[in-house]
Amino acid sequence: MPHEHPLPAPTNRIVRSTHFKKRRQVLKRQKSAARRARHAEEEALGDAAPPRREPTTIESSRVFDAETGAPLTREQALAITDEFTPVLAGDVRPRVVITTGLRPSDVSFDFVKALLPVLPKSIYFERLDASVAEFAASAAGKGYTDVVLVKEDRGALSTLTHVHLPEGPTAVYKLSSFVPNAKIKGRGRCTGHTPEVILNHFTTRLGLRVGRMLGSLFPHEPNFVGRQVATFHNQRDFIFFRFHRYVFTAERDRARLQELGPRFTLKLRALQKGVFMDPQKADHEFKWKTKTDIDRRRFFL
Amino acid sequence: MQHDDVIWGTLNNHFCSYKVKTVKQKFCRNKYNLTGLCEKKSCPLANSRYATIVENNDALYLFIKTAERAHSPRNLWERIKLSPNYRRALTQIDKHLEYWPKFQVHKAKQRLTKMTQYLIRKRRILLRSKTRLVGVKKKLERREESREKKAITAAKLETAIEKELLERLRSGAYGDIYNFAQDHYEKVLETEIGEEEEMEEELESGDEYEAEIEAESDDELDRDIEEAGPLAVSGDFDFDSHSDSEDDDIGGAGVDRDIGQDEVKDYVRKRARSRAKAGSDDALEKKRRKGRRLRNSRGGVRVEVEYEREADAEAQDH
Repeated sequence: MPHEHPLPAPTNRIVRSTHFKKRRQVLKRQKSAARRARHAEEEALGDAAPPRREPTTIESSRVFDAETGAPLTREQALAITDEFTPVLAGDVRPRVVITTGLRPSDVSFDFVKALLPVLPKSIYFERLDASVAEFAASAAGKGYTDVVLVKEDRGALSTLTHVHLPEGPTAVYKLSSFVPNAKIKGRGRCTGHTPEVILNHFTTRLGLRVGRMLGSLFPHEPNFVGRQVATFHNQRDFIFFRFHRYVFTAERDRARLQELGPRFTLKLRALQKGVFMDPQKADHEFKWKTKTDIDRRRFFL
Repeated sequence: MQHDDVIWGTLNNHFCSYKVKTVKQKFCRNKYNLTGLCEKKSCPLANSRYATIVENNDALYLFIKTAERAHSPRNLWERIKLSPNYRRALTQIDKHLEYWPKFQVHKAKQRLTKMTQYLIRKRRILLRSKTRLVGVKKKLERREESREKKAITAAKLETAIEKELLERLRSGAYGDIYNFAQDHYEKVLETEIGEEEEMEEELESGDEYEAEIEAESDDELDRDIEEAGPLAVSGDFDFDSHSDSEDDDIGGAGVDRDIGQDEVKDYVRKRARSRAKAGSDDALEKKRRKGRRLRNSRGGVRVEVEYEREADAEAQDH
């Protein structure tokens, strides 16, 4: 409720603050009285009481504009055909190459070590001094389907670039909040079983594209015996990765989770058409700019 | 009229603005110099007949000057564009510098080679993506960090994952993995329960053990207790009160520690049975529970000690 002055604010600071305090007390009293009245009404009317108001969250007040596009319906989402369809339909088994930026240190290697057991059929190749385009071309020549490139800046992980081969697209993410397996309390050890993949809350066209791209890093035939699940959860354009083992309770009403690790967070910076190029020359499907984030209720994924 | 010797004499012995002197040798900074050295035969000023290679916008030119052109600085150099093909450029040089001093031809070719190589290198470097330095936006980083924290709170990840997994289970994504026959499951459960009951009955009846238990004297039992005692190193074992008991000759901390686990277990089993038999209904139930616990505990040395105390208490009762 906006603060309303019945009179212009007094110029004396002490008077003004006293005035303001009193006003605030009144508002507080009004608010609590209203709450009490509402509770009393609920008690009196029982089931006939008016429904409780839903709290306003950023998610519930999300803005879909022309640029983000409206969320897709289920039919629209199922009808998508793109570069990832063969993988998601199970016709192609993904083979992923993981590599680092130029002159990597342990910071990058730790991430690569954590990622290798998560992605089935993934392999690490030394970057040497090849450009991303050269590296991707050579990987495509050997029949790999994806290149994941992890980069560090100023001694910390900074960027994760995912190139889908042979013809793109290329997604560039900001990489943050990496927690290696050893730092996770009560973690389990991951087994070699192909995990299931959960892609949560990818709603818009761009979101589904990114979700499908990430999902296509995993083979489509999960081994349910392993009970492992890899999750990409999109919340407010942050994509959280988690890796769990689960077990259903005997009553089948709960699933218990044990985290296997690692954890990390991605935020889409750019989605380029084709294989990675210099950002100034590239043709972008999506390009994040500093101004993009000004409205905190507008999300792209 | 120009005189090459006069010019060279001046430049060499007096001042030349292109001349750079080092400790060992002199260099020339004139852009038309073929070799870069300050010497009579490579001086572009002191030679009225001269040829050099010049690069302009990634193209190479053969520049030739002759004495006939000296009077007009604008037309001093004859410019001949060289082919981008290295071999063809060499033949062009050979053609235009026919009958020229060998030194000029040779150095022009050397310069062509060097310049062709640097042009190739330049193109390659241009193709390679370069590292671009960008500013660190502290405020932006801070904002993203806090928004990420809030997003992760709003995400309720584990709940979301659990919900999705249950949804998959309900929709039958897992096929028959979790749909094993319920009746079979219950049957297995029943058989297990039945076995347990049988064992309890055994405990209650315990006919075949009665004789054994009665055959054992109280002393023997007590000795068993004594033997079991020292194993309970970390238990509630009270050594002082224990050493006061009647069988001091065996007991205490210094007894044989090599007592086998099996012996201990045997003792426990027998003791449990005898007590299960001896007690009233309530006590029986209680003791049966105890007995089961004992039976379940593997090498439960701590439990031994409890028994010992109870045995003592029992002894007092009787």
